[in-house]
Amino acid sequence: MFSETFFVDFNRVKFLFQKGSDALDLLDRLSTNSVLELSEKGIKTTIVTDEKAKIIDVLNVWKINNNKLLLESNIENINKLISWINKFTIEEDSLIQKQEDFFKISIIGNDLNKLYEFIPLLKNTKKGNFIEFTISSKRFLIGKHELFNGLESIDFICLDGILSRERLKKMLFNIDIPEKTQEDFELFRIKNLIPKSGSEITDSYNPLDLGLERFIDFSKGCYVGQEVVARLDTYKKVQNIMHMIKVDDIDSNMRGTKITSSSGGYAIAISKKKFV
Amino acid sequence: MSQIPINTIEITERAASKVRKFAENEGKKPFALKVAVKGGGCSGLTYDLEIVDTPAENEKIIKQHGVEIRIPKKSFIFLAGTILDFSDGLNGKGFLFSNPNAKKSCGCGTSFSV
Repeated sequence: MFSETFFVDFNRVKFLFQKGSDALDLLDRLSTNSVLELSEKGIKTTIVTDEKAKIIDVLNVWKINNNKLLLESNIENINKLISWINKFTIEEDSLIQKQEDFFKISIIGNDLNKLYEFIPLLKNTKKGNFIEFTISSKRFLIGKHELFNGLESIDFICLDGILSRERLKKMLFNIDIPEKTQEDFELFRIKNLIPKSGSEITDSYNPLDLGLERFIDFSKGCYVGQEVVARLDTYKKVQNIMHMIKVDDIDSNMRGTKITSSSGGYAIAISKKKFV
Repeated sequence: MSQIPINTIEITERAASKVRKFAENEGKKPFALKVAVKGGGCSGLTYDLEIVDTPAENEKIIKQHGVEIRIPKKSFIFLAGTILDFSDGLNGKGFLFSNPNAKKSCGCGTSFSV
């Protein structure tokens, strides 16, 4: 566990809008979580998988209204995600638009009193919901959500370009919330087993290999990859396990293990269960 | 199941009778059966049936057994040559699609890939 509170600039996060009356329904038929149940101003993480249940992308869905979703992807997977959604858009009223000038900053930690003094509305916002807020004439979406390992976070989407990101950072410094550098956050991420796009979140693995069960609704209807996910879970056939190891303990003879990330003497490894 | 010409789809008398009953229950008169394909589902494409009363643009229209079938043209690419039947037997109840374009179908029977 950790006691610090800090913010991170997620500069590899990329955004796109999915607009249209069938947008939510289509995404529900292509991903693991029940996004159809998402209420307005709600956030949910869902996983788009291929026919073999390999991961296309893990994305946060921000429901602006019934006809407009903001999808939070990342630099590694966004083009693949767009192609995948477009491939399955046949008669549906659903249009994908890249949004280049949005940015994401997240606060992690529990010392949030000063933030709540600055944004009182946020205090009573429930987890999985977001509010719209303006700081110095710059617009933000601010949501209470979680990282991919379930650790709670407060997520800011800066809607007015780089300037809005800089204003937000300045505000956070003013209320004594420090920024964690990318290098320091990488170590934090590894120690807390938070999978990252391009490292662990790739089409080499399925969601169960990465311990992402919390983002799978096993009782929802069909989606692409659902039969494989259900079979892996029901018959306990998940082949891999993600775990943290010390770099000093890495042995060149480790069978069935792939090191996917490393920083500060620690690494994330994905191993064949039978060799662990 | 016999084959039908590739430029049409066919509905069996049993399925047509069921469709007429659904339309009557919904109070739609005149009515048509819209048969379409949606993206997603276990195998990538999902059949979509709907009783409709207003025509839309770009639809192929077929009349059989007292039922007007409307198929959006984009969907027709995936449905050409399909026979729509209905089963209420012990091993499953509902509309059944016999689609010559489907390379793979999922267990629930409503999803397929081409």
